[in-house]
Amino acid sequence: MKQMLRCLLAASLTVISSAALAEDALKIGAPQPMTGADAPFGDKFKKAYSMAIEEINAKGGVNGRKIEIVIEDHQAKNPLAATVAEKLITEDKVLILTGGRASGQAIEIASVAQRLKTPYLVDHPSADAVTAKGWDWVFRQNPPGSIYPEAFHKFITEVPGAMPKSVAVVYDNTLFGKTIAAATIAFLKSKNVPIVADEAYPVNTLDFKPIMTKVKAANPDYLLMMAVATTDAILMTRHAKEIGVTPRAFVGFGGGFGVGDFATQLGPLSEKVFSSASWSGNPNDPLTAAFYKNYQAKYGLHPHEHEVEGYSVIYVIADALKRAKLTGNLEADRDAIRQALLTTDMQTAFGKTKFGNWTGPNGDQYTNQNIYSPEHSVLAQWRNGQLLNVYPKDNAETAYAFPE
Amino acid sequence: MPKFALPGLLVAVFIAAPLLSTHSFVHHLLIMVLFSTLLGLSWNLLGGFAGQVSFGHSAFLGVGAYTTLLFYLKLGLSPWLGLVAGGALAMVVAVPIGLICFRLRGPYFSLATLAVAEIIRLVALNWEELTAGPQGLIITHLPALSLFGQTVNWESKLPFYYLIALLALLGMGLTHLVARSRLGAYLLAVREDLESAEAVGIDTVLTRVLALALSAMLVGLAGGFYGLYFRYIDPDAVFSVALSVEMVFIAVVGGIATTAGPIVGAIVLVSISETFRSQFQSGHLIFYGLFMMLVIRYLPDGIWGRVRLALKQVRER
Repeated sequence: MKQMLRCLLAASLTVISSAALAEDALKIGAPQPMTGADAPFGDKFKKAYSMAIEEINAKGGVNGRKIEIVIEDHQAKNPLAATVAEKLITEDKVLILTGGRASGQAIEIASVAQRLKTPYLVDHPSADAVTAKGWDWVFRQNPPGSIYPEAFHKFITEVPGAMPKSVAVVYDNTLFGKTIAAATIAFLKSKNVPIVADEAYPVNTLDFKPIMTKVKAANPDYLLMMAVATTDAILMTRHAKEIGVTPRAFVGFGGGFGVGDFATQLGPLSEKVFSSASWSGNPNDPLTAAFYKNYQAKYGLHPHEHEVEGYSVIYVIADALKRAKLTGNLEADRDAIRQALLTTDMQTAFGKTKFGNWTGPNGDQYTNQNIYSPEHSVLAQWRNGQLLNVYPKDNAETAYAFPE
Repeated sequence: MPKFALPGLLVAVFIAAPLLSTHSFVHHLLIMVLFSTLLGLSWNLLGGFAGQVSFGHSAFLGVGAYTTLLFYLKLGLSPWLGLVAGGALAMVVAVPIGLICFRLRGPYFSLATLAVAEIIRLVALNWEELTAGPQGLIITHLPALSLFGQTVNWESKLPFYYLIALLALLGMGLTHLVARSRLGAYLLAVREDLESAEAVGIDTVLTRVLALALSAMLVGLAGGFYGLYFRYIDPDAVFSVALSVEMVFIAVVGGIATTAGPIVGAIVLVSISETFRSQFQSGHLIFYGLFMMLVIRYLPDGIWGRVRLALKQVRER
């Protein structure tokens, strides 16, 4: 009996002490997919967040207080994303939210955050709508989807002779594919470039030959391809080359064209294919380079866009927490953090971050969207199985090979 | 026991439940329980009573959700009108689907429902003028509504709770009526032996179409509620196979072909998934899966089916 009492006492002491600690820490909430098909992405963000938090806490935290991240699994399901956002805000009493991973879930989180007056700093979801609905509690560090082709637009405008004489556009019918296609078609039309083929396909198409036969007949100067799925990117490129489409340049947009499998599966067929790659920080910037090195040392994995975004977003939040006057009153503190985010102006491994209201290329009216987003677009090219940034020059790892 | 004691008690519990807690997250979970109940009730009408296993019920949920949101966002009509219209349209859409699919039996019918849901998803994805395609529909604010002289606060959970409670009661009432009606008897006959049912003169196609239409109406109403409560729909979210399968689980775990089964299933599934998720960040689905296996192996009649059997045995003793 005595022993039992002692056990109980010890247990209650640990509970009390951990409660005291938890109260002391500044809590950040992050709904992420930790199970299901998207789980690998949730894990990437978890690693990136943890690394930033360890670094900040090791240096004394924020104004002497430790910061802590609370991750909740939303299984990539929209209703569950709303559920866990609600739980993080009302039960875990986090000061600010980040994460989300995919756009559908981010919209649910943003809608909940707006109604419950809790700041939500988006780190990866790219649907334009997230910051185009006038939600003033929602901020976004990363560029919206319609910004992705920005570097390609600069390339064709600035490099002599690069402006296409005609283009064929082939895109998947996802929000991402359609947004990018719309942005780049609008830009090309403004430059009077004829669109000779405009073809949408469903994700996970197995045979691109019918589409590519049409494209070949149109004989485009550039072939622009949008693919979220890696298999689509690979098959589309292979079938285009097998059918004998011979444009001056193959340009891929979207995740599928940026992964290692693209080169391993296609071999020499991948050579010199351009990829309007997702932004993962400027590799020539010392802050970004240091992050890449440290991350590799810590986890033995090569970081990419997700890790840079997750790692940097914690620094942006820590900066806002540092500047906000926290009183212990949850509602007032959340508003103070929102006010602090409005005046954020800093450099992270991701790049420059400052939030503002502006108009996107597809006419979206952004609220609290990173104003440096148009700079956060990069054109890369596959060279000997490696994807290297080639444009703009400041972010380039090598010179572009164009025309051959 | 007087005739109205049980339903009266149920209504009282539904009214009182959210008043026991001030936590809005608890209210949210109660809403999820009743929403799941409605899904389970809908699937149960067709899958439980008539034995027609549908894997495509999200098709009708999506129709209801899109109707409700489009009524509001495009036509500017009250979303509450849209909710009712969503249920009605889901019913209308169900009739031709039923007439076609009920020519098929058993697994072939199940596969056909899967295909129908996929076709409707693709239509929603590509008919951009109407549905905004993959971009989905977002509600940023709900119109002011005054009820009994009070302005309804849509930022709080209670109005949504009472709305879904009303819909769930409607579903349970409908199930209760069907189970005791001529239609209910026909459905059981169809489930047990289709040939015999036909031999005694039951129009089995019409019977099943009727069951499907009622089932579609309930899930269409649930879809409208989904749209208004979560305020964002896109084709992949509302026409998902995962959602259709969830409906099957709720009914099966609770107890198929019973009135109370779906609510039991919903309470159990929502609470275990919440508990496991708060305990384990990434391994919780293993326990969820394990639980499903145990139920299917040891409680093939579902939890409520088992309890009902036990109660009956006690009474007879």
